[in-house]
Formats: sequence, structure tokens, C-alpha cells
Amino acid sequence: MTYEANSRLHYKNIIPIIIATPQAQDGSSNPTLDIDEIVNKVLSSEKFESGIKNMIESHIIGKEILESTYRNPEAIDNPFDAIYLAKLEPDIIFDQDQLSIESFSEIEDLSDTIHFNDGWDD
Amino acid sequence: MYLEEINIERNTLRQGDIISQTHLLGVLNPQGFSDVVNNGKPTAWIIPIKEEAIGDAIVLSHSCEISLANKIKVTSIILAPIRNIDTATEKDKIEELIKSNILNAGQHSSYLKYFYLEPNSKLKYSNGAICDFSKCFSLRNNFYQKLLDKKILQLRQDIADAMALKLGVYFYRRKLAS
Repeated sequence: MTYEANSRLHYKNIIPIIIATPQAQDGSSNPTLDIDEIVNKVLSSEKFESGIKNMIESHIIGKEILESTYRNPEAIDNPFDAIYLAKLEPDIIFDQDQLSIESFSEIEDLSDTIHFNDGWDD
Repeated sequence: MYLEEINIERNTLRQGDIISQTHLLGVLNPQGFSDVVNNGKPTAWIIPIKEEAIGDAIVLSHSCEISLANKIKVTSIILAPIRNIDTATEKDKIEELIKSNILNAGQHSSYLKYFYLEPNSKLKYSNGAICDFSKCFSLRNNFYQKLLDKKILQLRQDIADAMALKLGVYFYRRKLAS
């Protein structure tokens, strides 16, 4: 999940869940659904569980962003931290840049024909 | 080649920034390294002074990667050491090396490992220098402020772009040196 997707969850923390109501013998829906039955159906819903998990994650990341941005600017210093990795987004690759690099793919490197006597090449 | 003093961005690092007198990890020689061991566990490294390299370096990281405006992306800063061009042993090739800074369409060969840096009053190289892509190294983002404090020059954007293209081609090229 990208950082942006996490951010959007702050504004979309509504989890729509459809609960099938038991039908009466005549085929009509039964409007008097037991409250315990509703709660059980909600809690056992995969969508509910996934939604709650996403909301908790987004709140943790939101809290971390607040701390790192406003309280401690040096807080993020571990590039392999799980929270950091959750914020990663792909870099944009422009076709022109790619073509520029590729157009020189067959170029010969002459670097080995010159040397520097500064003790770094021993 | 360099931005005027008044135009240098002092509050952020950019690709093509020149950093003075920093530790050049890319040129350290492992001979002489030793560990300080405490209770069987290494607690520190000892690098003999004669092996220690302190000098100028240039920032290779993409400006976007190290902009404080994009703080989330700043994890490390990639640098390359700067070498005095006067120490070149093949003097007759220097002019060709200097011209190779700009890669032109259809070009068949170049000194891809090096990018020439013109002399400047803030640099100690009277005839210019080269940065060496093959000795690049990185420092973690908690070095950021120290590097910023030692920033002395900034390449013009067109020159920084030319350096970035050469760096990209240096890593991407398919043809082996003959």
C-alpha cells in the first residue's frame, strides 16, 4: 500500500458491509434481525477485518508523520524501517530519459587509458 | 560551470554540489584496518591515518532524492571523490577527457568514468579536477547537515544534467573496453 493510499484512508474510514437477512417462509426479508446476530456477522466479515487493519495502519503512519515532521525532524533515519517502507512510491521514468541512456549503450569506455598518480589506484 | 555565489542553494543539497574536505570512503584501502574487540565482539574500527582519505567530493544523488522538501525519500547521499587532474600520467589525453564531458548523439567512445571540473577559486586544483564515478560511496541521511555545511560550489543545472547522463551511461553501457 502506498503512502497516498494510506492517507486517503483517513478520509474514507467507512467500511460498507452487506448483511444478508434471513428470509421468511413466504420469501420476504425478515426485518427483525437479532442484534447479536448482526454483531457476529459484522465481526466475522473479512471486509470489516481488512478495513479495521487498514485504519489502524494509517493511524500509526499518520502519528509517525506528525512526530517526524513537527516534533523530531531526525526521527526517520532507518531506511529499512517498516513504516518507512510503507511510504515508498515508484519513481517516474520519462521515456526521453530512457531513450537518451539507451542511445549510448554501445559506447566504448576509454577510462582505462588514463591513470592518476595519487595513490588511489594501487 | 558553477553557479554564482549568490545563486548557490545553501539550505539543501543538489546533484552536482561540491563538498569540501569530507571522508572519502570510496578510496579507503583495507590494508591496515583492524577491529577493536571487547568481550569477543568488535566495537570499533581502526583506520590508520596514512590510509585515511579526506578530500573533496561531489554529490551524485538525484536532486529529488536529497531535497529536504521531499524528506521521506532522503535515506542516503551518494558521493564521488574528486581527483586532481594534474596527477594524470597521460597528459596528452587530458584535452580529450575534458571534451568528453558532453555526450553527443552518435558518439562511439568516451571517458565515462570521469567528469571534468573546471578550476575555481574555492578549489585547490589550479588546472581543474575530475570526479571519479568508480569510487562512489554513500553516507546516511544523518550526515546531511554536515555535508550541507561543507558545500562550497554548485554545478549549473545544464552541467549537472550532463554529469548525470554520463553517470547513467557509465553504469548502463553494454560494450566492454577493448
